[in-house]
Amino acid sequence: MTETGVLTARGLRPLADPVVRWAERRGTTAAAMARAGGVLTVVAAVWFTAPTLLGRLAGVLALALVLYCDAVGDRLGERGRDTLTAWSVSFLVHLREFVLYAALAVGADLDGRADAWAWAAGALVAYAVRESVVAARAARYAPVLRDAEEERLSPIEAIDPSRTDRDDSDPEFTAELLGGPPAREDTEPGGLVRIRTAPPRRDGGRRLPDGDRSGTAEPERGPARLRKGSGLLWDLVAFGPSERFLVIAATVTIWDVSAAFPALVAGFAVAVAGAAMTPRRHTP
Amino acid sequence: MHPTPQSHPVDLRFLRDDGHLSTGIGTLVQGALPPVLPAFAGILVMGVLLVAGFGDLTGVTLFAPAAALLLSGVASAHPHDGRFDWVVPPLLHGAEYLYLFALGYGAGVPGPLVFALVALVVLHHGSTVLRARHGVLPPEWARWAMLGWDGRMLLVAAGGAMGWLPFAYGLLLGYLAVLFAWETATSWLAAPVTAAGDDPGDTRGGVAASDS
Repeated sequence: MTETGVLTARGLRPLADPVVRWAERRGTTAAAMARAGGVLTVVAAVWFTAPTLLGRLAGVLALALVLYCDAVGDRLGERGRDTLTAWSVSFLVHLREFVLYAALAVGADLDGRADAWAWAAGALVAYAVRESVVAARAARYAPVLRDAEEERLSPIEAIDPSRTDRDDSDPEFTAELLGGPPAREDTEPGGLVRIRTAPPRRDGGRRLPDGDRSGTAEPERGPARLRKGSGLLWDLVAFGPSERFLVIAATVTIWDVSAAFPALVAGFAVAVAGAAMTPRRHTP
Repeated sequence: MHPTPQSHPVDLRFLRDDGHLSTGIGTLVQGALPPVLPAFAGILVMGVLLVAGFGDLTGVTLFAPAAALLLSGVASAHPHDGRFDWVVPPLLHGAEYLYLFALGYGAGVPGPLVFALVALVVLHHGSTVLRARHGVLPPEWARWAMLGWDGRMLLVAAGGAMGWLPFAYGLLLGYLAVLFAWETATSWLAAPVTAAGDDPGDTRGGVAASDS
């Protein structure tokens, strides 16, 4: 599923039931809803270029419909979709945002703001940095890449080429040489002896949390615990599409089109800080 | 907000979007240097150049910020397995966006043209990550043809040095747009139809994907 934002997920998704049922009867797909959202974004963009309050309100209404389409598409997408649909939905979400920023810039330009395009590009850069941070936090490193680099030997491998592909020791020969220690309980099949590199943990008398006595659970610390305790706040900090549209709608209605860009840049700055504090989702 | 269940992890090196020059410099060093320090050094020098005297940069000196950022290329072959190595791709992306943005507005390139070029580069980065997550990676030739962050920055700097900056922006925009549209269409037409939740196969991306 594509990122939709808190407002869509918690506010509009529960209201999407009637349209979801109707769309399922008609065989409408999530991709079709994404296309409808894209068209409505263009409609909103056109209205935002009109320097009148009525035009701005019409644009805000169109943005609300875009979010509703997102909610319906998100529900329709739960039943599975192919990779092309998933990609195209996510791609359209990116693309429509750029169209909206460009339209806001045109609107501000028509209002007489000379630096409207600079602000629009600044908001776009902030948006892109936020996306980049989120993608990097979800990425992993690839130790498998070492396979492709085997021909480049490190100095220690150049001195001792058999270092990496050395056979296991012969336990019988070792026993014959060293006097043959008695068989131990932690001897693996094949004669290998597990080496204990650290004393067993005693946890210092610390009680394990109720419901988990296996000793494997570590208490969450720092941002992880904070995030668990205030999930809604962290979801808002993530500054998803619906929050961005809400900020645009509010600033355009209350102030003017050019006020939307500084507000967006501030929101993205907070989102980047929040994403940087969030524990990585994928570990090696 | 719902997490994407089909999100398969993407290699951090793939996210760097290195071009020919950065990859070549990294090959010389063979991944011996960790990436964070060179990236910060490159960003710092580039930031100082942009803040201190960007208005005065003309001619060959327009290459200076891009050349400074090439410092980060020495670590392009590193596996990026350090705790803070995730900051490198966002830093490189942000530096490229800021360079295109600052150079365009500093030199009087029309605002819509600068916006369109930055938007297309952002779209390229976003699309690449999405495709890697879905297991439909761009082919190797397309990655090279998109020039990487270093290639795009140097091309724009070359346009500025010759005094053709608006033309360079337009040319780069047209080239990237046509390449992006054509490569995306042909890749998806050739890709098998698979459910988004299925195993997408090779999601490593970058050098690993091309080596396999």
